[in-house]
Amino acid sequence: MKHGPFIVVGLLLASASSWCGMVLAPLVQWLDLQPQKDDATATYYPSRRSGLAEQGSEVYRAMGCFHCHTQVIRARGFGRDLENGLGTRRSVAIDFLYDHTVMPGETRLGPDLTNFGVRSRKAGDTNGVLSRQSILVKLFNPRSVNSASIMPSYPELFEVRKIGKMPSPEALALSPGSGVESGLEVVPKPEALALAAYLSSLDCRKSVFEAPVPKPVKKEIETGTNAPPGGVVGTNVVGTNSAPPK
Amino acid sequence: MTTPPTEMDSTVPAPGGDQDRASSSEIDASCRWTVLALFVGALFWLAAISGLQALASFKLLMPGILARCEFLSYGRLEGAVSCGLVFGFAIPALLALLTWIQCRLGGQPLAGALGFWIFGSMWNLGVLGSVVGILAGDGSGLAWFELPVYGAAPMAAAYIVGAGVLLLNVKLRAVREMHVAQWFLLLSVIWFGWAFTVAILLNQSLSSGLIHLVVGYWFKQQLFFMTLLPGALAVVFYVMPKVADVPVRPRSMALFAFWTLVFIGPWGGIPQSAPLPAWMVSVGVVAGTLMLVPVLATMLTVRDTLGGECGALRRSGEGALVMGSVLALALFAGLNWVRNWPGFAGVVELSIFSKGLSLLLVLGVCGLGVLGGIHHAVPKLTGAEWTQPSWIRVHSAASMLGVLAIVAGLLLAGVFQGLQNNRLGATASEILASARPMLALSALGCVVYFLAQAALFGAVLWQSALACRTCCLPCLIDWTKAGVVGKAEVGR
Repeated sequence: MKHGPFIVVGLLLASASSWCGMVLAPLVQWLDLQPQKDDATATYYPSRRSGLAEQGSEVYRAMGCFHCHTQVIRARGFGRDLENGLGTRRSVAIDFLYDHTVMPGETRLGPDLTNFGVRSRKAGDTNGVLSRQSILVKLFNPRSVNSASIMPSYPELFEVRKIGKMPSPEALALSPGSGVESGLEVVPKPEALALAAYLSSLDCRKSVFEAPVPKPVKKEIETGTNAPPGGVVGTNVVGTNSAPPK
Repeated sequence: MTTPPTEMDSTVPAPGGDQDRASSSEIDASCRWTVLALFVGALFWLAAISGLQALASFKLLMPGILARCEFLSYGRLEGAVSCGLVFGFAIPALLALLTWIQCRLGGQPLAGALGFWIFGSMWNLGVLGSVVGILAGDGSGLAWFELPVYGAAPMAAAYIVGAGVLLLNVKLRAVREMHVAQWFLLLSVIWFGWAFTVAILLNQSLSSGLIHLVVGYWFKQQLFFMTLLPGALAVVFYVMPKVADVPVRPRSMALFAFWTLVFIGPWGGIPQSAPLPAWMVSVGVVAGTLMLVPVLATMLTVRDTLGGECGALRRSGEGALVMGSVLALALFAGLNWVRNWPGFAGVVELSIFSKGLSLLLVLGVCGLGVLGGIHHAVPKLTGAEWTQPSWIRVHSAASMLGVLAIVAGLLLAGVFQGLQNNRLGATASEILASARPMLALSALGCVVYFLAQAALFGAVLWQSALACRTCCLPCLIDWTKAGVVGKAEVGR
């Protein structure tokens, strides 16, 4: 083959076509991607995160958390994410509409975090599982929560200092075996609070056009009250305004 | 020290008009310090990064190691390792090897060596800035493209200079007929320059995270299938016929492999679990299946070229490494195809299997091919055989063993992990516990690979120092003598 220019032109044509197909086409497709309105609750999905949670997503990126945690739910029949209760529907592009850095992750070495905010909220403080405090405790020393955890600890996100006249209200409530000497307290730095806010904000349960959430079978209300069918569906209570309870 | 044969390229057809063709020794002398300097830089990164990779793999088993050092957390190490392997080792080593191969096949001494020195210094500074930046938390968040902009920008500028000078050498070649290796060389060099600059510009000019994600997937595909793979094939199609002393045949099959790779390779790269439009995922699945066509054509070319004469390849270190690269390619294409089957994809998607497959291409297909090329080129460039040939054979064996252990460990760990992932109610700890023995095997492989590459770095450095002594010491003595005589004459 003596035709060097022929090879170069062929390469440029092939590379330009792949770029048009795999980069330009989705760019054009997403030009009119807008938040979707839920008529029942008059809310839009997705909504922008709070400023603190936005900062937290930067901490999430900087720590490389996406190398171990995914934020993606696979469709039914492709893995068993939905059967395992990781979400109510598969993940789609609109879930990441407002994310400056989209980090769905490729390897699930730790738990999936798509709906981590819901999981931590749902448990609440009543049964003591993964409230903000427990997120922070886990970040400080994961093996104090689960001895088999392989998650790295992030002491750089916390300040270990002597307890002053009064303990800090932000100090972590650590168990005795957590490795912190008596007389010291562990106070989260702003980065830790931001990361906890980001993790608490992760919630992708809302039904969207591309991936509707299957509606639960409605039971007829036996008594003749004026209560709306389906109980609390569509209320604005935090954590319940996206999907009906099972 | 024995002087290696300064043979002409017997595998290159010699049509008329080759009177201006330079001798091999002339060409090697023109490339010597430029290419050796790029090799030393690339091998330094390979040794350093494989050390970090070993540390990261042990952190998966024992998370308490260096837990107080935030720069060495698992997430940051992973980003630094992928950046260092590809940008620190693979790209500059490929560019150096391809430059030497181009000069050898083109029959002309290296032109524009200064351009490669500029490339080498700017590129390595960019890689250093990027690796330090990622360890400090400035990674972009896109797998295999985590370069922070302050590292990526000088690297892009450096690459334009380096690739530009290489293309100038292609233009200036004395032998007009292009060898099979030169087709793949051109593909690799041109494609990476285009994809790298476009990806950087898009990620800097557009603010949408979704577009960044798509650009990241697209870039990874171009990097793996259109840069590292054809670069490795260029080395294979040069070194393999040289070692076995046969020409590449049939050229028509190699040409078919080339053009099918050009038109199929750049499509795809979208994981089936990606939160992207379904048509993009479908295109990726179809392209992944069609990739079997160029790989099969390559395998047939290799088979017909060798014609069952594998003895010479097995006996030499570089031949074994190059064959390892070809076998890794066959395995990679097969697994990449199987990964698209719905049942299997449901198991291995989102598991560590994906990382194993990526490393099979980077360390296996590209890494072994490049190491084979370095084994082949260094004695010719330095003008002396390896001082410890047995060590070099041990390096070949250890590199292949290391890659095998790393990749096999990760692939099997991925299958076990995926099966547990799909078990109802399994916790993260239980899921990973099932994969621990295989992760341990992978960690062991990382240690073997690190030791082998550290030894090769030392050997190439030593070989270069010996060449420097042979070449520079007489000049220095002459220069000193001339200075002494000159002073004496002035004194009289």
